[in-house]
This record gives sequence, structure tokens and C-alpha cells, in this order.
Amino acid sequence: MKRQLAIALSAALAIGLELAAAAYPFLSQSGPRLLPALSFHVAAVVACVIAARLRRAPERLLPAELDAVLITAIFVPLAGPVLGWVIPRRSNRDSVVDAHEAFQQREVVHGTGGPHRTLFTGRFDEDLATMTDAMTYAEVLRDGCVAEKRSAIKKLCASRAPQHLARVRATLSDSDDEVRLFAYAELTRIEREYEDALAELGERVFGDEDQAVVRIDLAVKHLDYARSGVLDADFARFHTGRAIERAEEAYELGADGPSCARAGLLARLDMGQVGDAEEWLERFSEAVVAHPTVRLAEAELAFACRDLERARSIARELGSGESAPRWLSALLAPERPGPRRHIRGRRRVA
Amino acid sequence: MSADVCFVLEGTYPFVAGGVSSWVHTLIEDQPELTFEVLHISPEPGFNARGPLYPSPKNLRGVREVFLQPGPSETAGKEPDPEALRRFVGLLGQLRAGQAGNLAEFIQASEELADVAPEDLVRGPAAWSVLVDTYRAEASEESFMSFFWTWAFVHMPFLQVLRTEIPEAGVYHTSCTGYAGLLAAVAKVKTGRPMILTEHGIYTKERRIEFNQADWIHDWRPDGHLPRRETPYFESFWSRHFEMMSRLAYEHADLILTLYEGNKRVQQREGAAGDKIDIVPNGMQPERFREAAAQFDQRPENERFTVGFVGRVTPVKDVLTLLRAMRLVANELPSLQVEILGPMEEDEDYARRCVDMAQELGLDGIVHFRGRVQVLDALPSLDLVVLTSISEAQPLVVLEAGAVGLPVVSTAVGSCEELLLGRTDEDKQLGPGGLLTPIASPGATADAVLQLQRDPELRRSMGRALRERVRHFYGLNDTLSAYGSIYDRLRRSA
Repeated sequence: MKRQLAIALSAALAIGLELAAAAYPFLSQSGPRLLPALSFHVAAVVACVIAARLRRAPERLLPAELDAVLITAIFVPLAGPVLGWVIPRRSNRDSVVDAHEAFQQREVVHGTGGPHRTLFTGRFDEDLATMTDAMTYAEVLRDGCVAEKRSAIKKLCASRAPQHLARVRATLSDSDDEVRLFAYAELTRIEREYEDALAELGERVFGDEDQAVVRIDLAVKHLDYARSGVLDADFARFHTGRAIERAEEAYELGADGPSCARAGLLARLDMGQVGDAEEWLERFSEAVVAHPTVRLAEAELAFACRDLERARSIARELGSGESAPRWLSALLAPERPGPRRHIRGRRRVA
Repeated sequence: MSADVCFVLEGTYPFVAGGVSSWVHTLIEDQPELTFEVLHISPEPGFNARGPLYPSPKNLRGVREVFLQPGPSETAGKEPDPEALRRFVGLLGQLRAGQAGNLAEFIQASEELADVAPEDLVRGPAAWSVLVDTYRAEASEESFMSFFWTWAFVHMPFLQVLRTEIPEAGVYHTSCTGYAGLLAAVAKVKTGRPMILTEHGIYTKERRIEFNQADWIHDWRPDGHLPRRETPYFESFWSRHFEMMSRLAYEHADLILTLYEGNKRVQQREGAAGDKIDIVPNGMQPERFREAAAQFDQRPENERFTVGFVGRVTPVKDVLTLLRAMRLVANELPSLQVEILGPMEEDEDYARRCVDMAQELGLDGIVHFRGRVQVLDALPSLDLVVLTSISEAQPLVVLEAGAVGLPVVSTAVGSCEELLLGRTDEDKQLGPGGLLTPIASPGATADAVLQLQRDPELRRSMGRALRERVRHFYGLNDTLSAYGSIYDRLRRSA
């Protein structure tokens, strides 16, 4: 009776371990998965051998038959772990959470901006520095003394990055009017550069130049201004609208270049007119649509629609050359830090 | 015969139009029983070549200009007495360290050197060793060249103010803590007569912002990775100098007045004693606006919704934000009409930018720049007054709009919150007189304008509340009687 129970337990243990070995690669989303799966499998084989010996199977079988049973016990269940390993794993990069996070980061910039992400590269030290800087600036702008806030505003404005200028815009409501006025002065300085450039381009409308080119330049400048982060969301939309109008005018005047296609596409995207953006692109020749700057704009459109696969395929197509910005390259980064990597990295630093 | 009150002013009445100038003009004109004199500080001769912008009231005895950079002195090249110079520099050091009580000694020391030109005293051969010693003690890591010129530019006007001949008066009344505040303090020390300081904006704060923005202040330090806590040396040098003048003005003022609670708190942070500070809001005469108010009440609805901006077309009013907001409003309300009512000559470059911007935004036929107008005539035809200033003390235009019964959309700066929402509980019970918006926010301004345009009843109720508030709490008679009794009390007590 005891023998029967031991055989049953050994067999159950072997089956359980084998199932664990097969399932492990599917359950775990990160880290080396084959070794633990094999360990489960080896334990299962040992349990099988114990069960066979308890049944006194070796005494009743020919040596060749026993070898066949053992080989089958060892190799056939190995298919589970191997199959699990071969199936591509779902990394953080592809997960729903990651797409959502990426989309949120885009939204943080301002309602109409491009995907200016907080760029986590997967390289721990670099990412930690980025995070520390971002947190420091955010903390300083929230809790710093006036001198610190002014210094932070100055540095953020010097960077000209839209997400930084959006942070500076938030200080226009600071409780200290010294900070408010300083932020205002810094933002106005940047505004003025755009306004002057637009005024200069506006004068060219009345000149002898190719008007399609002038309209494209205007569309691009309006779009840049709208995306600069220096304007409030409502007025940024106004300039985005102007970019659409100028791009339309340029197209009517015969423009069929990548700048026109890109400006019109991105402006429509920023206005939330995704369908119009797709249609706009259809108006242009294949050569224009295949141009890297237009493909890049298309990637931005895909990114905004959360079609990460399409964005990623464009990123692959563009490669890692200058034409691919960091946010797009980040989609293809070989490793992105999952929670485990964070913990490991932190230990290493400590 | 000396004037009852001597206004000690800087860059304002009667040469520059604006809120402080209007306030001074009203105080002089509406107190005919008192005589006044104005001591006005200007940068250099010829700076106010246009002459006074205000008609001279009968009780204004005269306007005397003091120049911070009067040009080469006749006594240039004369060697100072080394002992007197050493004492002078020692006392200057004490003043810079924050010992305001030494102003009397310092003035005396400066008078002992009266025959030495200010430029020789500050950067002549005799001052050289003092300058080098100070450089070694506190700025040895900085550029000596920058230190030399900063030292000279900071102290020259300072000495010029100390040497100003002070007219006799019953009371010295200044409107800021800068050079004018220093001169008023000097006047008090020299004559023993009382001094009043009425601050509309906080001068020291405005200078700090200016210095931080200035590209003429040298800072060689490399820009680090993270925000800096310390202020660059030369910026700090300038700021400390103005803070020192501010301390002297606060210390020597018998009474410090301001327009609203927020300013009082800032003054205390800047070093003013709380028990010296009193709040006297600017007032206006609602009866002057009675006819305009009646016109406003009786006129039919405007065919085109009309928004008015009343003020100088200058950067501090942020007219560009107003224009952007009006573009957004016009997108929703094509029949919009915008009246820009105010002088455009103070900053012609900015005014031109505003006109160009209106054109660029396609606001031709919607926005009209009318220049200087009679506010009384213009206000009744408006539906709403908008103020987009980035900085204000207590804007008169809000009171004027309120007197007529117009609601106001204003940025939440200075005392605008108190004016629109009320200061005391009794005041707050009257209800809001308009809507507040953040600075530099065309979207928020446009939303507020559209909200009031779409809700005529809300507009009317806010207009009524503001009119009541102005009538009850911001009467000019209250302001004048407050100042009248202050002048009277101080003149008697001295």
C-alpha cells in the first residue's frame, strides 16, 4: 500500500514539474527563462525514474526498452520549454502599459505637440540621470527659492525643448510675481523670435519669389511656433490652423515637396484631424510620401494613433540615421528597463 | 516760502504718463489748500526733452530735475583728503552691510568731500586702493575690469543723489524706494522733516527682475547641469545696492503706505517694519462718472459686442496677449469690436509690434487703436473692459470701468483680485465684479470674454457689483482725506 502511494506521489510530482517546466517560459516576461524550465524538467525526470524503480520496472524490461523509456522521458517533455523559448516574448516595450505610458508622455507636452517623450533609453545610468534632472527641475519649480526657480526657468528656456517650455509656462501662475514675471520675460523672448520670423516671411508674400515656397516656409514656421511649447494650448491651435491654411495654399500653388506634405500632415495631426491627415498624404506623389521627413511625420501619426507597430516599422525603415529622432529610435531600443532591471541596477549603484 | 509737501519722484510725473503720475497729479490738484513742489530724478540732462505731459496745477510751486549722470564735474581731478576718504569708504561699507542707521554719518562724510568730483571719489587715483582692496576681499574670482565698471556705475549716481540740494518742505513724499526713496531719506536726515513712502509697485523687486534679465551684467561661470541657488556676483552686487537703498527708505520713512494687502506683505519681506505700514487704496470720484454711468445704463444694446482696453500700449500691459485673445474670441464671434484706448508713444517699438500683430492676426476692422482718449466719453459705449497686464499695483481703469458699471476681465495681478472679488467680508458680499485670468494666457482671457458675452445677465450683475464696490470702498474723497490728515499730522508733529 505504501509502495503504491509512493509511486503515485512520484508520478504526480513528475507530471507537476513537467507542467511547470512547460509553462514557465509563458509565465515569465523577462530574464533568462530556459534554465529554470530545464531545472523543473530534470527534477521531473528524476521523479519519473524514482517512480519506475518503485514499480520495479527495470527488472521487467529489456535494457534497450528501459533506455527507450528514459530517453522518451528526458527528451519528449523538453519540447514544452523549447517551444516556450522559441515563441517571442512580450517585453515592456510592446506591452499595453508601455504604449499607454508613451501616449501619456506625448499628452503631457501639450495638447497639440509631437511625441516628445521623456526618453528612457534602457541604459540605466543615463535614464537615472534623466529622471533625476527632470525631478530636480520639477521640484525646484514647485518648492525652490526665487533664485533657484529663476535659474531653472533660464536653463529650461535655453533648452528650447517643448516639454521644458511647457513646464516654464506653468510658472506663469507661480505665487511669487518675481518668478511669474521672470518666466514671462523668458518666454516672451522666445515668442519674439518666432513672431519676427513670421513677420519677415509675411513680407515675402508680397515679393517676387516663388509663392509656393513662401507659403511652405510660413506653414513650417507656424507649425514650429505652435509646437514650441511657448504658447498656451488655445493659441497654439490658432497657429496650427494657420499652418494648415498655408500648406493648403502652397499645394494649390503647385507645391509637391516633402516640406509641404510634412507640415500639412503634422498640423492636421495636431488638430486631431487624423482622417484628414491620411487623406492629405494621399494627394502627394509616391516619391514625396517615401521621403524620410514625410515618413517620419507618418510615424508620428502612427504613434499618436497608438499604432506602435506601424511606427516601429517606419523606425526600422529609417534606421538609426539622423533622420530618426530619439523618440522613434527608443521604440526600437533592444532593452528597456523592466522592474527587475531597475532593482538590479539600483543594487549595482549602491 | 517752502512748500507744504515735496514729492520726490523718479521717472514719472510730470514727464511720463501712467498710474503713478495720475495719482500724483490728483493729489496735487485736488488738495488746493496745500502747496506742492516736485523733485524729479532723471538719468541725464535732456532725457525729458518733451517736457511735462500734465498741465501744472496752481498749487504746484515748481518741478526741479535731479540728474544721476550730470556730465563731467567742474572740480574733476581734485585729490580727496585720504583720511576723509577712508572714513567715507568705511561708512559706505557699513551701509552696504545693512546698517541703515549710518546714513546721517555717511552724508556728513560725503559733505566733507564735497569739493571732490563724484567720479574722482568713485574711480579716481585716490579711490584706487579702496577699490582694489574691496575687489580682493569680496570678488577676487571675478573679472577686475567688470568689478571696476560695476563699482563705478553703481556708486556714481548714489553719490550724485547724496549731494543733491534739498528744497525745504513740510513733508517729503516719495513714490518708490530707489533713488527717489534714497533722496527722500537724505532730505529727512538733512532737514529733519518727516518722510512718507507710498509704494505702488515694489521697486526693488522690479529691479531684481531687470538685473536677472540684463545681458549687460557679466557672468563668466559656466552654466551647470542643474539650477543654481546662488545669484551671479555682479547681478547680486546690483541687487544688493538697490536693496540697501530700499532699506534706507524703509528705515527713515515715518509712514509707509501701499495700495493693497499683497504689497504690504512683500514690503515686510523686503525689510519694512509692519507697524509703519498702512493701506490707502487709490480712489476716484464716482460722481465724475455719473453721467457716463447714466449713458451706459440707457444706451441700447450694441450691435457689435465691444471690448475695451484702457491703458498705455506698453509691454507691461501685455497688449499682445490681448490681441491674441481677441483673435480667439473673433473666431467665435465675428462681429466683435475691440477698442484700444491709450497712448502709443511711450514705447513706439512695442506699439508698432501691436499694430503689426493685429494685422497679422487678421484683426483689421475688429481692433481699433484710438490713441489717447477721454475715458469718460469712451467707456459708456463698451460692453466689457479687459486688462491683460503682467504687473499692476491698483489699476485705475478697473475703478473707472466699475464707476460706469462695466464688468472687467483682468489678469490676477496686483490688487485686481481685491478689486474684482472684494477685500473685506462686507466688500465680498457685493459679489464678483468680473473674472480673473492668469497672465499671458490668451485662451483663458478669450474664454472669460466669451462667457460674459454669452451671458448678458451675468455681465450686468458683475457690472452692478463693481459699481457698488467702487462707490462704497474706493471714493477719491476717502483717499484725499486720508492723505490730507497724514500730511497734517506729520507736519504738526515735526
